[in-house]
Parts: sequence; structure tokens; C-alpha cells
Amino acid sequence: MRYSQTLSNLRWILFAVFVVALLWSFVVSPDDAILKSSQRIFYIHFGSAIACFIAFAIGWAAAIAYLVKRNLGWDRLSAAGAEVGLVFATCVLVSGSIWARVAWNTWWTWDPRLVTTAVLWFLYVAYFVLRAFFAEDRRRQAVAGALFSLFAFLDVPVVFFSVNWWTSIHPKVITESGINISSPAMVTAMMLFLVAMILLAADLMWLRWRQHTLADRLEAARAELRSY
Amino acid sequence: MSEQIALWFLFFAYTAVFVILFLVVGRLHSRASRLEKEVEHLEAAVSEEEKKKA
Repeated sequence: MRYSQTLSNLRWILFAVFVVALLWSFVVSPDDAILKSSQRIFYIHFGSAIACFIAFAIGWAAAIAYLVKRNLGWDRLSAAGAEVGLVFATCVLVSGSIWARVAWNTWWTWDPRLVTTAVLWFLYVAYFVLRAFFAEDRRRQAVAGALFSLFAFLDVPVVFFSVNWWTSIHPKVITESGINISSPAMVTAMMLFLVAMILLAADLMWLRWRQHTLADRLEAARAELRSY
Repeated sequence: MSEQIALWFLFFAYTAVFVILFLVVGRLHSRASRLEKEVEHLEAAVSEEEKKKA
């Protein structure tokens, strides 16, 4: 009851933040001088990217916790983090591609930021293939998933710092001197979408964790029944 | 003028996507709650069966 109340409150806050973010980005935030209204894709793109990194980081931390504690609750959280991270990584790639079509006149270019993000996406697809391979043995699935998660997460800092390490045409939004956007209204829209995306990621992770827990409980009950 | 229309189109497209997303996630949460209750019933039935056997 306590959990469902917290969840319900979180969802209403999330809804309110999304309404404010949408209104702010379309009514208050100005058009970009060159990209005009299409620049608003960036708000979704940036928010999705940060939410994706946070979800993968939670999945990675939970994978370490599972390897230390051997409690399946951590594995469920790790899988939920990877799943939600992958959904947001897909949003990043799709929104980035649409933005690139307008800004660079191409859907895709072999830029380090784009390539490392695509590698990240494939790594986490491989993570789920690996988990599916060990589906028959829950413990082995958890160990294999946790070990692979440790490896796959190494690409997250590479994606983040790729624009600094290599020559890239991708815009550098976060620099050493702060956020590289001149209009305060645009920064506010960006921040509102960032909060909204992080809350959405938290809600989705909560949902997936609940579903994984239910699946494990159901499997335990079925095993109990089979033993009769 | 066409720029203004494009902006409204984009706004309604964004709003529609998020409204659909909220409805789907809300529905999935309520389904998870229903399933939770059913799994609790099943667990109770299993433990009762265990007691009978013992």
C-alpha cells in the first residue's frame, strides 16, 4: 500500500513536469536561429541521453551488488536498469537521427558520439540475448547478466567523453565552463525535459522491477507445486 | 505561417505521444497490481497445501 501510494504520487509529479515542460518548450522557449522549431527535438534527445546513462549506471551498480550479495532482487534491478536504459538509448538514436537530418542533412554519419552510442545500444541488446540464453537457470542467468553488465557499462563514459577525446561534429552541450546554450529559456526547457525523462525512467524501472519480482515469485510457486 | 503550423503540429504530436505513453504505463502498473494479488493468492494456496501435507 505504501509503495503504491509513493508510485502514484511519483506518476502525478511526472505528469505535471511533462505538462510544464511541453508548454515551456513550445510557448516560452524561442525558436533556434538556424534550425527553427525543429531544434525542440534536442530537449527530448538530451533528456533521453541522461536518463539512459542513469538507468545503465543503476543497472551496473545493481550488477555489482548482485555479485557481492547473490540476492536475486539486485539482479532484477540490474535487468530493469538495462531494459529502461536500452529504451532511452533507442530514443536517443532515433531523435538524434531526426535532428541530424535537419541540422547536418543526413540521417547518420560516422561521428564518434554516434558510433559509440550505437555500440552501446548493440552491447545492451547482446546483454538480453545472453540473459535469454541462460533463461532455464535463473542463478546462471543472473551471474552471466551481471558480468556482462560490468563490461557493457564501460562504453557509457566513452560515449559521454567521445566529443572531447576525438574530433566530432556533435554539439558539445556540457562543457567545462557549463551549459553551452545562450538562451536561458532554452536551458529551462532542457532542464524540465531532463527532470521529466529521469522521472519517467524511474517509473519504468519500478514497473519492470515489479514485473521481474512477480515472474520470480510465480516461478517459485510453480516449482513448489511441481514438487508435490 | 507554415512555420507556425509546423510548430503546432509538433506540439500536438509531442503531446499525443506522451499522453499515449502515460496511458500505457498506467495500464501496465494496474495490471502488475492485479497480478500481484493473484500471485499472493497462489502463494497462500501453495502454503496451505504444504500445511495439509505436513
